[in-house]
Amino acid sequence: MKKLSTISLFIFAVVVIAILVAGLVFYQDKKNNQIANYGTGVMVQDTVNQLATSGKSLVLDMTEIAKHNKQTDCWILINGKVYNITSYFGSHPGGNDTMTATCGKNATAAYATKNPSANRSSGSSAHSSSANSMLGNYYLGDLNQTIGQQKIIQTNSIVTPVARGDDDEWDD
Amino acid sequence: MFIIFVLSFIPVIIWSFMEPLGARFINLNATMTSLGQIFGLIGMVMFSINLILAGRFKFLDKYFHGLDKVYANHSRLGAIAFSLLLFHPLFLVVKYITFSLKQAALFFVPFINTPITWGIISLLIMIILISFTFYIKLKYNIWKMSHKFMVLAFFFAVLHTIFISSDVSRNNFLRYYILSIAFLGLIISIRQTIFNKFFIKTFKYKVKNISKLNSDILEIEMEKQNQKMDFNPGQFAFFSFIGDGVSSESHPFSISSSNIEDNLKITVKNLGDYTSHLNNLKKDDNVFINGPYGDFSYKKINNKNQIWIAGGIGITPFFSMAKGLENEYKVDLYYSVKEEKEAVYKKEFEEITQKNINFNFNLWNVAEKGYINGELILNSSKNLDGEDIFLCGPPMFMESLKSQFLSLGVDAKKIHYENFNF
Repeated sequence: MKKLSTISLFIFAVVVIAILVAGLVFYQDKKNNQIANYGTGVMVQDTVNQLATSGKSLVLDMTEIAKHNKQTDCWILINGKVYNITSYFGSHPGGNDTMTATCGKNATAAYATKNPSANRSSGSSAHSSSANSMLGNYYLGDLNQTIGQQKIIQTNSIVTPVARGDDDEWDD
Repeated sequence: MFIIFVLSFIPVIIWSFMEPLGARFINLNATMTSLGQIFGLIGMVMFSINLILAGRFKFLDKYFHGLDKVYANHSRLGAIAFSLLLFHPLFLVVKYITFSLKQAALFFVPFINTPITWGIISLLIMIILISFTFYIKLKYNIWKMSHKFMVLAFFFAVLHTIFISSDVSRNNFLRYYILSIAFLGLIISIRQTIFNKFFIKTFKYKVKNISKLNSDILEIEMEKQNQKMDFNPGQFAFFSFIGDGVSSESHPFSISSSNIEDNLKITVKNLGDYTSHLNNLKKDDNVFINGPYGDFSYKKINNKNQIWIAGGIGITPFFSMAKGLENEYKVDLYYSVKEEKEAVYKKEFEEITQKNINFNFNLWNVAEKGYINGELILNSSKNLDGEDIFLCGPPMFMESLKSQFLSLGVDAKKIHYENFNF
């Protein structure tokens, strides 16, 4: 049993030290990348480009959003913008249920209050600024905008990142 | 041990029904997060149960066949829980790594997020205390004192569990299950570490006589003050001596007197530090005794043909047992000592042999005959049929003989031993 503790302690020490060192050394590097990723202007430009090159396209209206109403295919509307959050399932600090409830719907109020339904008591606070910036990764287009299929595939394959919350965003 | 594992896995079963498992393991990130959650849940329940195991309860003594075995399991379970809890943050950090190394690094920095800080403090305390247990050898009483701070680590772990937003905070059943086991562990351990003087039944005795049996071994005789402690020969108890020059920490000792004697005796070998200070005891010093504990008794089995094997000071429970031994028992005692002068109670055993023809006493002097071994013992005790074997002595001595007997075809169930090293 001493062996088990020793091995665990060793792995723990190595991983923690590696992450701490790497996190501080590569911080500057990462920051630049993030700015590039989050520029929604770039995204919109992309969408326009795709629309030009892609043969297929569709209109992001409420009827279209409502088709994507399950965990394995989940679109939501927040503040007039449509997001494909399918690949974010499993990473939400507030659990999957809170997101599933809003699939295919206007989630503006739910996102603003972190309160998808009346019987949940876990709070009515706004999402953090890092959550807001992360949301950009899943942006499909504005309501009633026409977009290319390529964009949908692209948002489906986002590697689920998680933003650090201001205070209560943590999953344990 | 089986029950402990069942109790530990119940939260995982609840957890697995909370959301479809497919979603839990949909990709690498989700899988790692799920593993982190599982490890946290199991580790927390095991930690709680481990505090209960340390509670020195009579029912545990019975269930595990001896408090020494309870402590052996405590040590095993503690190591497993510790490892699980170490991996708990490692799995959870994976999803931050894929996002940003800086976020991942900040995950391990305390004082940013309150519940996480509690978790970090808890883990740090655990790492320090486990190091004291496994890597940095402290004197027994100092180590014992340090180990009590595990309760503090646990306290922070419970705070972490209560306040973090997680599956525990989202599912009421899971929440109550984890928290009720945790609070039970917390209450028991606080009782054990801080209020033990008020809650744990103790017998009050006074030192009556101290005699030096040889240069290393002391016999301490104690007289009851009000109630006499009943015990089975072979059992042990925790003794706390109140006297000048002796620490009042309680230490476990086998009882060397028989239950038919009026006074209680223990026979202590000077192993350095605490035991060396017992020399300073004086007549009429107070003794507080908590016990008896242990399941090491010739009476607990039906087989009346028995081989008893003692190594050095491991003779004490056998001395207690031999004095009151009934005639229907056929017992061969082997007493292994490094040299003749180490053999305390030799005269007394020879007297018992003269009175009881069914009791054989074999003194084994290692300096003359070399190490005792299983084959020799079985050959010279051929007259005993299907005998049970009792072992008591230094851990190496017992382990070596136990494995020899097993390889000679003795059924493991027939080998009984006392773990003296806790």
